[in-house]
Parts: sequence; C-alpha cells; structure tokens
Amino acid sequence: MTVKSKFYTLGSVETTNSSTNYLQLSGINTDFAVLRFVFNGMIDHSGGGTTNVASNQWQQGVSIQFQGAWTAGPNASAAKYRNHQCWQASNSANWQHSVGVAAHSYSVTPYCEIGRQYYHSGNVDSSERFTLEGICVMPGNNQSKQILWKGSGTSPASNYQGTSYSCSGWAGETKLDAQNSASAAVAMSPMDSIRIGAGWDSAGTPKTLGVFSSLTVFGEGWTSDVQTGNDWS
Amino acid sequence: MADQQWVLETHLQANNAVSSVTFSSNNSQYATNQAGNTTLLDYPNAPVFRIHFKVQFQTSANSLGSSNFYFHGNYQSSNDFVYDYASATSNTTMTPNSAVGTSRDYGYSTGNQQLGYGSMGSQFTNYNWGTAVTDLDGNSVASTSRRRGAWCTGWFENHFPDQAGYYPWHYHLGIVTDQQADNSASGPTPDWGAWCIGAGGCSAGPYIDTITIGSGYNFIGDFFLFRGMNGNYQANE
Repeated sequence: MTVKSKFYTLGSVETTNSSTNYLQLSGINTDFAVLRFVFNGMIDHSGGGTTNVASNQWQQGVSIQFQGAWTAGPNASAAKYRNHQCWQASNSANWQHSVGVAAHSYSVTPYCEIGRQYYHSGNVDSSERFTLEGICVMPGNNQSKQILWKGSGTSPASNYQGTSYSCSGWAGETKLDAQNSASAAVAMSPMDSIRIGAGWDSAGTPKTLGVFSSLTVFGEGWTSDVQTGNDWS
Repeated sequence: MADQQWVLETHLQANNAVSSVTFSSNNSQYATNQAGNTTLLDYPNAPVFRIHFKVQFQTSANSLGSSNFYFHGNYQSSNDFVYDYASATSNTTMTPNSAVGTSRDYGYSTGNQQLGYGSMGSQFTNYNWGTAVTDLDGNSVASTSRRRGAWCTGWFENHFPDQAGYYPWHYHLGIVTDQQADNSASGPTPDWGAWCIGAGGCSAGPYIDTITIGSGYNFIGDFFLFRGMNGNYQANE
C-alpha cells in the first residue's frame, strides 16, 4: 500500500449578493483519501420580503444535496436522501436530534438539512453566520457514501434570547439511500458534486443565502488501495 | 506548490473482518520536503494526530454497547472518557422530524476510551432490504452487498505538544441507515443509525506512538492517520 501527502483546494464558490438560493460545486476530483467540505455563511431570513419566514421563530438550516441528485441535476431521480441531524440548543439540557427533514414526514427525503437556528428579527444580523464542516472518507470508491458534519454559529441577538434561543452546535450524517432502487446506484458513485442551499420556507419558496456565504471543498491525502469496479459484491 | 504542514502518514485497510486495527511507530516516520530534507514525525514536530475513518460492524446489533467500540494509545489503563450519544440504546425508534434528547456515557480510569453507543451494526435484523441494482459500471449489486451497507464515519483528533501533558482526544462519529420500508411512509424507524461526540485522555502515560481501535464485533473499514506539523516540512505529492 502506498500513501501520498496530496492536499489541494478543489473548488470554492461564494455569494456576492443576498439573492442566491444555493452554492454548488461539480466535477470534484475524488482521487483523495478524504474530501472536506466547508460552508461558511448565513441564511438571509429577511429574504427581501419574498419568503414566508417569520421572525422570532426556529428555522431550519441549510439544505444539503450531493452526487448530482437535485432537481434538474444529472441524477435528479436519485434524490432519495437519508438525514440525521443533531443540535445543541440553549433551551434544552442536552443535544437534540432527529431523522429526516422538517418539511417532510417520512425518512427518505429530497434533500438533507442541518443547522436549525432561531431567527430573531427581520434584519440581516451578522451574528446569524455559521460554519458547517463535513468529511467524506474514500469519496471515489465503489461503496455508498456518507458525509459526517459538525458546525457551530448563531450567537444570540440579546442576552435574554441567549438563555433560550440560540444554538451552539450542530452535527449529523447525510447520505443517499443505498437500498432505494432510485438512488442506490448513484449512492455508490463518486462524491463528485455538492449543493448547499438556504432551504425552503413553509410555502416551499426557496430562501436565500446571505452575502459572502461560501462553500469550499478540499482533497486530503491519497492512497493506492481504493475499492473500485465490483469489489466486494 | 509550496511545502505544507500536513502529512498523510498511514492508511489501514480492513477488507476482511477484524476485531482491531493498530497504527504503530507513529513517531518514527518522516516527512520529506521538496528539497529532500526529512523531519521526524515526533510529538514536538507533529503534535496533531487526526484520524478519519469509515467502518461497518459485521453484526445485526442495532446498539453495540459502549465498550464494543473503543480506542487507546500505548497504555490500556487510566483512560478517561465522556461522550454524548444518540443510539438505539436510548432511542429504539425514531419518528421523522421528531426531536428527542441524547444521552451520555462516561468512564474513569478504564482500559480504553469508549464510543460504542455512537455506532451500530450494518447487518440489520427485521430490515427490509431492497432489491439488486445495477451500478453505474453495469455490475449487479445485491441488496446485502457491503458496497450498499451503511457506513459509520469517524473523526478522532488531538493536539499533543508536550509529552508530559495529559493528551486530550476529542472524537465524533455517526451513521445513518437506509430502510427500504420507509421509502414513503411516516412512522417510527428502528435501526435508524447512531451518533456521538466526546472527549477523553489517559493519565497513565500520555503516549500515542501506538493507537489501537477495536471492537467486540468484527468490522471492516478504512482508517487514515494524518499528522499536523509545526512547520512546512512536507512536499505536496
């Protein structure tokens, strides 16, 4: 077995306005031991008045999709995701967690979701910025892929709100369903694309990311021993 | 391309099920820069140990038990740990979009640092496996193939600048599964997955020249040890 210390920034994209629904990286080189995804930014819940997002309510975090499995994407029909998300909120004594996403009542969903946060007011508040970091081990092999996420952000807007309405940490796992016949083959394909969006409001209207939100992917390390083809079947 | 601070030191691959894997001689290997100069990966030069891995436990148990997934450095005594977790141990079923609280486990002066509640077996019982599918290369892949099994992803890391210190591991892992029966129906889902986040250390002798990761259940997987250095000692290969 041979390993190499091969480290590259493989792609990065950033918003320059507050009207962007998602950030996307495609054609990612998966010939690495690990891919690291970093989202740094915020959801602009003020939405320019275009979305049905009320202030002083809990809101869902960013939407996460990958492997081209999104609407109008190259693998759109494979958008059958599994999601497990955790959050550490100040109104609970311990971490909370759930499966699925907020807008769907079933386990297989058209996207993943991590980063539940409390939206304080109609103003864009820089304290709502946050970071999510995810890793995919062996992104180019022949097996189902999973991204493990953790992150933090969203300071309280006031001391009072800090007592009950802030999230200090997030975590979770996202993947395409490897048993569902619509997504299983794509689930085993390389982790060569990702789309992180602002999610949708209660009416299904896409929300927007705040200005200077960014998504970057890093390739870290290389190994000669990667299962490919039909190994292990 | 300039020299860099990170090295991929070792890849351990378990294609056949094993009960443990061990990173050894961690501090006697070398980084090499573009000029061909070498730097010993000892504690002062390379104080960060970062392990990323993916693993499948070859069992139908939907909860491993805390001691059934563990790791330790050179010493199998005086290990302390604490972690918050979500698993079938405390949440036997999960209803989509229904939040529940996590649990906590800890140990003091034990033989290893444990995180078993943060993972589960990938050979589920009472599981509605799907059907064989054709992969993008044209191969038929059975529903129970390890290629399609649920993988647990893990991350262990510490910063070890001083051998006299008490080294602080922190760790994070999780697995979400895919039950075909829940394709469209709502309702509780058993074998939904597991997750944990925690920390620990060892006061017997803070040495991690050898790091063993083990389980009471056999497992397959890939384990990578990265080292973060205090200078740009490694060429980008």
